[in-house]
Amino acid sequence: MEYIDQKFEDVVKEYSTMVYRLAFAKTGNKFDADEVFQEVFLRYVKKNPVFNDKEHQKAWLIKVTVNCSKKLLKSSWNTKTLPLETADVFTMEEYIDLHYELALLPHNYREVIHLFYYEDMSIEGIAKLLNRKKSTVRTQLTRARGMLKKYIKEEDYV
Amino acid sequence: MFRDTYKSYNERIVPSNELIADTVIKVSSVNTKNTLHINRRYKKILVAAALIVFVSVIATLPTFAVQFDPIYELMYYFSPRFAQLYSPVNESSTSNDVKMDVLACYVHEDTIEIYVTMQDLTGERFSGGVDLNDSYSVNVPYDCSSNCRLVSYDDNTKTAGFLITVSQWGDKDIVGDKVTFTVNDIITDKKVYSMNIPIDLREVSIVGNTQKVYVNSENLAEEDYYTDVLVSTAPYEEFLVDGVDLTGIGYVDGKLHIQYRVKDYLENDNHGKFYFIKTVDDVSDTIFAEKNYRFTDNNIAYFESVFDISKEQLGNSKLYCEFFSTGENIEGKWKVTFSIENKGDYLPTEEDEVCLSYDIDLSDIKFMNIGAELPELLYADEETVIIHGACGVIVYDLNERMIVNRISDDYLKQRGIFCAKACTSIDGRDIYITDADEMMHSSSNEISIYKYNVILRTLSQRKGLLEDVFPKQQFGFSEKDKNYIDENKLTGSISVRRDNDFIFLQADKNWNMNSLQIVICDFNTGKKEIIDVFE
Repeated sequence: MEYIDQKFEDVVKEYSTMVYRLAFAKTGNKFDADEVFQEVFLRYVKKNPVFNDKEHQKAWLIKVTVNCSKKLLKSSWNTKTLPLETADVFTMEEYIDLHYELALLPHNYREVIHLFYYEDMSIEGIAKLLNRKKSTVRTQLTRARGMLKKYIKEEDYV
Repeated sequence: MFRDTYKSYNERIVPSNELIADTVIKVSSVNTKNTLHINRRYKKILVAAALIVFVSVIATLPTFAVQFDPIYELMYYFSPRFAQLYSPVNESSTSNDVKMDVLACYVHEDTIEIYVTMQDLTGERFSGGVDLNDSYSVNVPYDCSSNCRLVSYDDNTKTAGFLITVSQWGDKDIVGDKVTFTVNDIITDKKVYSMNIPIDLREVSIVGNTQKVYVNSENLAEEDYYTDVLVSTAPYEEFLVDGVDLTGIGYVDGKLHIQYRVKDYLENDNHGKFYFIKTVDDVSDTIFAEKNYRFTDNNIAYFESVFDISKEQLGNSKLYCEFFSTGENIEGKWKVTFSIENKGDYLPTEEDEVCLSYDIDLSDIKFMNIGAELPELLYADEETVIIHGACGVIVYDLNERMIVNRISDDYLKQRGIFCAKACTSIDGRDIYITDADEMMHSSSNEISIYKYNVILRTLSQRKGLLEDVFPKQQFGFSEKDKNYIDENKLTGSISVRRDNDFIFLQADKNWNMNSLQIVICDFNTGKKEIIDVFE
């Protein structure tokens, strides 16, 4: 009775936070992040992908999270409605401000910031994962840093 | 450093427990649909199992340490609101290669409810019929009554889930901040039998040889004494209960004796009872034993029931039994002490909604007696027939020719409805159920009414006025319609007229629920289409 693959349990254990935070970074609110979160793990189960190693698995989940977020953001519902405020997630003023600053970033800059500063990925790694040119990722990262200059200083560029 | 700030900012962003639980459930459902070899009857087990997986996942995740609610396992058994009242415990104890996990508890007034799982770590001893054999206890200071119910079983992990309820007598609140829960014995492979025994009762005769033995009477007021009982015969082949033999039927001193034996009775809990259903002129009567004896011979226990039923009455009767048999006993010492907080009274004032399973279990129907009355026809249209009786509430799809929904009597009893009264909305979309006892005795105008939505399969409870939902009159047969009734059948008192025909219920005069039929009868020609409901 193979109804729940054991792999799924491991996946949730390891990656639920990663997936959720990336979805939140990309969509900017917890309601959409919830939806993306479910969609990613449902896709995981439906596709039942075979991975070469952990890195491959992590990359697959990041890629699918970005794609699901994109799909959600493109949907007619999201293009015609404004996201609900989710600043109540944060209690410290510093984080509330940062949340609003991040929300002003274009969507495709947000994942670059998140993958670079939270997942500690290199520009090359992000480019490979998101199927973008390295120069594109570098430009997006530079522009995002510029928009977040209140928070990101020159010493943060590495 | 921005990297540190950003990571700290992200620490606040975590998926909620509810989201993860919901995802796990949806995933289990996807897998169920995609796995063709899984029978729908296992769906309930799958959901429970998926939730058990959820519990184990969450319990190991430090990220979600803020608040973990293992009670989501219960969510689909009872209701979301009910489940939220439970507090997580997550303490375990292992003995004799069985792991006991006390997952959650809910203490209110004089009652403590505990959700426990037992997992056979050897993977070889548990089956679906796991039972705690009344060996559990909670160290409360006063006398108490208790109940233990198997609510889930996952054959994959050999894990059984139990909901245990312990109530102190005398309205004494559970006090203190800790309790200790213990279990000493588990029985496996518990089977429940409820069936007709196909013995030709016309051949039952007066017994020539009896034996005088010293018997234990079930009546505590009586002393044990010597009496005449049957001499055991070879086991009857018609009686098929594991671990129990039917070893004699016959008249002794004008009373009918029926004897069964249980070997190794100290090592198991096999037991049961016999009864007769006598039917004369379409009127049924149940006859129970007037006395029960027990006597032993080494490690064999003999049980003998005495019935006041004449030979003539026997000709109009059928013999039935209800028995329990068990497999292996697993003894151990499972003990967990945990903190509690009495949350006071639980008043279900808000609408409380639960979605019923697609798993429709009809295994009990085969041996079910119709009871005092034929099931009631609540509603019928071109597509659907809704029935209520001892079989519970049944929704029958005339297009698919199958039962698509069932709310069993057992399920209603779990919700406190012991004597259900049911009706439907005009369009047949909603079924309203209430407790007839409450209808009779409630001093308030408003009573608890359950509404079951046939389409959404949701069951919700609210307080309401009886006259708002229950019809004041029902319709019987017209004089012309009565001409089409089969006099060799039991016939319901209600018919529903459609454009060209009318629908009613009938059953065999053996009063077996399995014989229930829906009859669609043409007004003009009397031509009938007969559908076996439980086929």
